Amino acid sequence: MPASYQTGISTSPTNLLQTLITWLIAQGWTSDMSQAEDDGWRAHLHKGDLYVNFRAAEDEKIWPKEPPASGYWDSTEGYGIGLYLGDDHDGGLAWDRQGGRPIRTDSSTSGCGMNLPSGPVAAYHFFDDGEDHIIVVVERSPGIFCHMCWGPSMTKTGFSDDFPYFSASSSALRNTFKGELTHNRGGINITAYAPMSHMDKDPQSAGWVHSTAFVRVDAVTFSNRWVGNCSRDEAQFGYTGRYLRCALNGNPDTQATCDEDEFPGYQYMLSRVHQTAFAGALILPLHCYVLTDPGARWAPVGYPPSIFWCEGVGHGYAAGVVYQVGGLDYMLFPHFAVRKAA
Amino acid sequence: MFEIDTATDYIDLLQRLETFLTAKGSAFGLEYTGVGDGRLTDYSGGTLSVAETFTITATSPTQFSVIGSESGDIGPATVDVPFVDGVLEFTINDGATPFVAGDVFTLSTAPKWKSRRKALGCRVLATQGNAGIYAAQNLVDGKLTADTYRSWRVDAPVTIPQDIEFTFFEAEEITEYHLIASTSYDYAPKSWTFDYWDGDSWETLDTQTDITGWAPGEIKQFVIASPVSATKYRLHITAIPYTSLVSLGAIRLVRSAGIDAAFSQLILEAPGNDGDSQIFVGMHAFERQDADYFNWELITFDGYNASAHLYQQAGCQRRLYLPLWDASLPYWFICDGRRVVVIAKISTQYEMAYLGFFDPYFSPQQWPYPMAHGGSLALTDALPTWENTQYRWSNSSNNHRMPTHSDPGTAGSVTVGHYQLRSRNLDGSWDGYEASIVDSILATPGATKGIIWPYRCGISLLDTNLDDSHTLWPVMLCHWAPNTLGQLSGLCALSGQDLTAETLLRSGAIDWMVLPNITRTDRDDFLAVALD
Repeated sequence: MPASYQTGISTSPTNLLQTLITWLIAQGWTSDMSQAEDDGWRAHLHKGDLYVNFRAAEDEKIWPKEPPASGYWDSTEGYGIGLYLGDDHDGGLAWDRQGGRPIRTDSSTSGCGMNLPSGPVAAYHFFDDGEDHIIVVVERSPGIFCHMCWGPSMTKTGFSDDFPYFSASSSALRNTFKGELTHNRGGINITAYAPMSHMDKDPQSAGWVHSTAFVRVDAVTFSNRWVGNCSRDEAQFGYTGRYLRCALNGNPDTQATCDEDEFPGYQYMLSRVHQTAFAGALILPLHCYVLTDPGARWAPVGYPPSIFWCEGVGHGYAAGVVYQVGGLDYMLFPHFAVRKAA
Repeated sequence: MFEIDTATDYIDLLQRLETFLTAKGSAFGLEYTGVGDGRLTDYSGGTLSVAETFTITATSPTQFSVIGSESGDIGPATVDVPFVDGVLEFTINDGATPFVAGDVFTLSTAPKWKSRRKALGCRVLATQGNAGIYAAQNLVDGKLTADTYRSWRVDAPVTIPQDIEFTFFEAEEITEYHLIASTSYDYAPKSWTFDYWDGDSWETLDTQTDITGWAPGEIKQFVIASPVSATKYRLHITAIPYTSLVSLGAIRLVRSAGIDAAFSQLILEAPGNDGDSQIFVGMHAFERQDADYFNWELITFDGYNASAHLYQQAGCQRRLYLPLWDASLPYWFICDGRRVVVIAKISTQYEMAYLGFFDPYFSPQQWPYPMAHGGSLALTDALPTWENTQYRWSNSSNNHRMPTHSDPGTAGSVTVGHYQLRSRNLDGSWDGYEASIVDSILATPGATKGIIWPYRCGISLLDTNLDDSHTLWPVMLCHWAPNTLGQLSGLCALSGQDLTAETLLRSGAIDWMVLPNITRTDRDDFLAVALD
């Protein structure tokens, strides 16, 4: 399917999700289910053997805990779109129980999403690089962006199976949060940090980071397959039984909490990747790593091929600018750049 | 292109490097797509190479066409038969899987480098004063001004006659000689002859008597009426003003064109990969028998002036060293039209020099001279005096590290001379880069410190890839301006997990050779060098 880019305005989380579904179908995705659920909307699509599951929340919680525990992982009812990937669809199962889902250590589903306002957003941007790597960027209010993305495989760095991935600007904890924030939260009251990066700090402790990115590795590496980028081995952080790490931890509130000194990371380059001698900004891969067992070391698991860390915005470039490097176009957003192949 | 061989000693290594760079053009950037698993090896430019790209395409399992973007069709080439042309040389070796029509290698070339100046220098032996701070070898260190602690000095009893003998590493025709007074100027020699060795006896070329009235650092020049070519000369001192002491600051043995042949120096001009550039690098071989070191000083320049002293060339950046020894040296030379990498093996230890351009993240119009200066020994700008064994390859301090693992050796105030890796700024100034501070990456880099990614950010627990292969990470120079200037060409970082020195890792059509950080072998102490 050719690459595609679409932009527009949506009126609600459900409207945004429906618009996205329409665009995805045009991009060759098959809709397995798209229907109202409670006050929101659920949708399940697939392309090949990659299944994507969405839930638009309209003043709801959407990430249930595993019975016999009751309640939800969401901190409050609110608005947003939840996301996770799987490898199957069963219409008889709840939106969060689809096959091949990331499973927390309490057996509930782990995922992430975009926190959204209840009403219109300033703009959305849908990108398909032509290889089914999808990124959705939403300017939820002027200058404040959130995002979610997924794709069939990380760029391969020494592995042969496809490693699907997904990421979003908020963890399940704040996917639907509404209310007053006492701290800055990327993708809610300030612009989001880069996809795949460590970004969503727990309200209780500086060292606790919730999962906002997941990679599905091969069974030899980890039998439960999905690994997430939280900092603690407890279900409430989205922990699936094995850690994922990203080279980038751009959130000042989460820095130095995710083993940054142990693998090629960007922690000391945070203010150094835009150019001042001449206009320019680096576009750097968002390398990810999985904790190996045995070994307790970090093995590279590639990077999303169409999303990059970039600090061009605020350093000579405005959000939405198309920046060209090596004959390729990239659309710049605060903290990241998206390959714009169409 | 690259060359792997063994030099007899550190001077032979210098001669071999000059030959490697200047005899033929360079060939580099080898890539391959195809079915056959044979390899293209032993590639280099030829004597007539220009900047161009060759497409070498299989027309059958054993025949390849060779098409240059400038030279046109210079083929065919036959598998397992060396291909030799004035602009390109290589051999395609057959593999287990035969080539099929359409398999294609691509390879770029650049013109050969030019040798702008070469003097191998000499070994100095005096009747007295060959060890310690005032050793006679100080006389040929290329000093520009008198230096109290780098002069030759003999205290009483002074033997008269006193000879200072110069043994050149290759024959030189000395046309004049210069004596430079030390700060102890009153004690300069008064009468002498300047002689050469004809193979049987010393023959006098010049005689001076009652030369007095020296001033500190004063240079007195003496022309030789009938120069000869010889490998040994001497200053035969027959009288001194005071019996208590004799001293000199330096002696220059000058050949035609005004070059001090006693002072080892090699200046090379790289053509750039475009063939239109002028990139100047240099080396100065120096030694101290008493301290048992035999090194190169590594230098870069902004330009070249044929009549100027090595250290007075435009933009001379120096005080960075390649520790070597005076014995057998396995070596690896790697070059393209923009930079050269020298790796030498001493015992079980590896030393490295990187001279020339890095790969910039700016256009040539923006950053026209992206020069990097890398060597494995940096002893600060306030250098130890020459008798100090810190210059030796056995130096185990953080002054001695691979350029990729540059470390200022202190968390305190530093200058560019503290770093094993430096780069030239747009304005011609230089800054250093750190991969660690006192072998640790835990402290946050200072706001005005250049860093080397990924080492400075830490890779202590980086594993192999899941299939046990190794990811090769670019070595980026991250200045603080901010500006990330670019990356070193043909050098990569990698995890040292499951690796040992000289392991070859195949990436595409190229082998990368693994090296440790001198004697350090932690997981974050390895790098890889492209043998391309």
